[in-house]
Amino acid sequence: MLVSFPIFADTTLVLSVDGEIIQEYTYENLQALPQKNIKTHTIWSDGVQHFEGPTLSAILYDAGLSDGRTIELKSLDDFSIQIQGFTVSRVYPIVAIKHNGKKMGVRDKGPYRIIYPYDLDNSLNTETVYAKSVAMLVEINVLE
Amino acid sequence: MFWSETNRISGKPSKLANGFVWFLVSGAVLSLLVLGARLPQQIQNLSTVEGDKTGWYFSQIEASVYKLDAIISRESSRVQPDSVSIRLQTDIVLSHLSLIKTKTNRALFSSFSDAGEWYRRIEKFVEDIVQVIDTPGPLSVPQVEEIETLIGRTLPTIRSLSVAGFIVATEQEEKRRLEATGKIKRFGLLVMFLLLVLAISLLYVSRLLRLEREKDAKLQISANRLTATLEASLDGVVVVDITGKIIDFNNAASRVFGWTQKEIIGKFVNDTISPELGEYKNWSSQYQHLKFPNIRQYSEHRFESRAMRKVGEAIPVELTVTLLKDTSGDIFMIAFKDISDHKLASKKIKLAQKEAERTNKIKTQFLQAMSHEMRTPLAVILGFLELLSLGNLQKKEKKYVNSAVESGNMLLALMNDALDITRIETEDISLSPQTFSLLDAVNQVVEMIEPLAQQKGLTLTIDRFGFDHNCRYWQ
Repeated sequence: MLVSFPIFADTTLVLSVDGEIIQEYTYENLQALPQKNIKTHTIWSDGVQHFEGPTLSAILYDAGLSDGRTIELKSLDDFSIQIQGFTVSRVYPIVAIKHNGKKMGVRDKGPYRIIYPYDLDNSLNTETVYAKSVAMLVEINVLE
Repeated sequence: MFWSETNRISGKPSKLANGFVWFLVSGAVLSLLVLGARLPQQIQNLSTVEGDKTGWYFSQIEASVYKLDAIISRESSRVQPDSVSIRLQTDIVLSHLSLIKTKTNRALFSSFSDAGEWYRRIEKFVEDIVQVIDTPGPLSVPQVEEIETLIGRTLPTIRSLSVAGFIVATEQEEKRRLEATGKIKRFGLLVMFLLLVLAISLLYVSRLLRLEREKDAKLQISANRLTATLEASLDGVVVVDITGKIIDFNNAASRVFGWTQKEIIGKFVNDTISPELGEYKNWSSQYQHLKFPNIRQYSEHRFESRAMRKVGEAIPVELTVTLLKDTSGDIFMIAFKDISDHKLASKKIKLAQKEAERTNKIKTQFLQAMSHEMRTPLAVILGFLELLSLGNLQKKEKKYVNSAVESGNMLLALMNDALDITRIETEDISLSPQTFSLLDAVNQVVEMIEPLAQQKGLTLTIDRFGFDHNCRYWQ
C-alpha cells in the first residue's frame, strides 16, 4: 500500500520575495482562496485526473504582489524552476491542493503541485510547461 | 490629337491563359498561407511532450534513492535516527517510483527482457520499505538498518532501470529528431515546389506582360497611322460613342462643318451636325439593323443625308457608319463626304441627257414624217409607170419603163428602210418572216446598175453557182 500513510507533517507553502519569507500558507489558507478545478490527462498518471486549488495568480494577488515578476518555484526534492514575467491575471496554472478529491502526501507528489490544463491546448503539452509543473511544491519565491 | 487613346482598340489577352495563371498563383499563395498557418502548429507538435523527459525522470529516481541511502548511512550510526528526514526522503523516493507504474512508462521498457523482473523487484522494495517507515513512532536503528539493506538490494535494479530509461529516452529523442527532420524536409520541399510554381507563374505573367507591351506598341503604331490617315482624309470623320456623343473629330470635319474640336467634342451628333440621324438612345442596339427613317440608304452602312454646318447651312453628304470594338465598349466612326459638287454635276448631266433625248425624238419624228410624205407621190409615180408598162410599148421603151419601176421600187424600199430605222429607234417595229428569191433580188440589182456599167464599158456578170431559188432570208 503505497499511500496508506501519507505524511502531512509539513504542509506549509512558503511565499518569499528574494528568499525572504513574507507569508506562509497552510492548507486551510490555500483552501480559503478562490478554488479552481482542472480535469486533465497528465504524463505522470493514466486517465483523466482531477485537481483542485487556487490559481498561482490568486496567491500572488493575495500577497499583494505586482505583475511582471519572475517566479521561482521550489520543490521538496530541491528542484526549482523560474517563470519569467508572470502576470497575476493568468487563469492558470493552479496550485493544486487536492488530487482526485483528496489531499496529497509527499508520496503523491504533494503537498502541493503546480498544474496546467494540459488537455486545453497543445501549446500546454510541451516540455517547458511540464518542467514548470512542479510537484512537491513547498516554496514560491518572487524575484525582484 | 485625333485618336489619341490607343488602348481603345487594343485586343484583350487570352482569358484562358490568364485564368490559368491566376489559378496557379492563387493556388500557390493559398498553399503557402495554409502551410504558414500550419507551421506554428507543426513546430508546436515537434516540441510536444509525449513521454516527457523519460531519462531525466529515471535519473531523478536514482538520485533520490542515493540521497535516501546517504541519509540512512548517516542516521544509522546515530543512537536516535532522524525519522522525519528518513520518512520524508523515503516518501520522495516513493513519489518518484510511482512514475514507473504508468502504462506509458511500462510500454517504454517492453523491449527489455529484464524489465518484468525489475518491476517485480521494485514493487517488492516499495512494499517492504513502506511496511518499515509506516510503523508508528520514531524509527529504531534496526529499522534503519533494514531500510539500508533494502536499498542496497534494490539499487542495482534501480540503476539498471535508470540506464534503460536513459537508453529509451535517447532512442525517443533520436526518433523525434528524425521525425522532425523528415517533417522539415517535406515542408521545405513543398515550399520549394510552391515557390517554383510561383516563379514559373510569374515568368509566364512577365511574358504575357511583355507580349502585351509589344502588342500595345504595335497598336500605337497602327493608331498613329490611323490618326495620320484620318487627319489626311478629305472626308470629315466623327467618332461617337453608343449614345451618339461625339468623342473625336478630325480636321477635315472641322473644315467641312466649321466646328473646332474643342467646341464639338461632348456634344451629340444629332443635335449638331447631323440632325437627320435622329435621336438614338443606344446606337449599339441600332447598329445591327441600322436604319435612319428620314434618309436614303445606299447599302448596309452607307447613307445619303444632309448635314448642317455650324452657321446653319445644310449640305448634301454621304455617310459611312462603321462600328469599332473598343475596350470600353462599341464606338462608331461616321465619315461625312461633302457631295455638293457631285450633286451639281449629276444635275447637269441629267439635263444634257434629257436635251439629247428630246433632239433625237424630233429627228425621228421628222424622218418618220418625211418618209411617210415621200411615199405617197412615189406610189403615184409607180402606179403610172405600172399603167405605162401595160401599154403597147417598144421593147426598148418597155425596158426603160421597167428600169424606172425598179428604181422607183428601190427608192420605196430605201424609204421603207429609213422608216424602219426610225421605228427601231422609237422601238416601234415588228418583224415577220417572208419568202423571197435571192436570185430575183440579185437580178433586180443587176438590171438596175447594168446601164451604169455599160456606160463605163464594164461587163457585169452574175455567177449563179450556189444560188438556190428556194433560198430564204429574213428581212
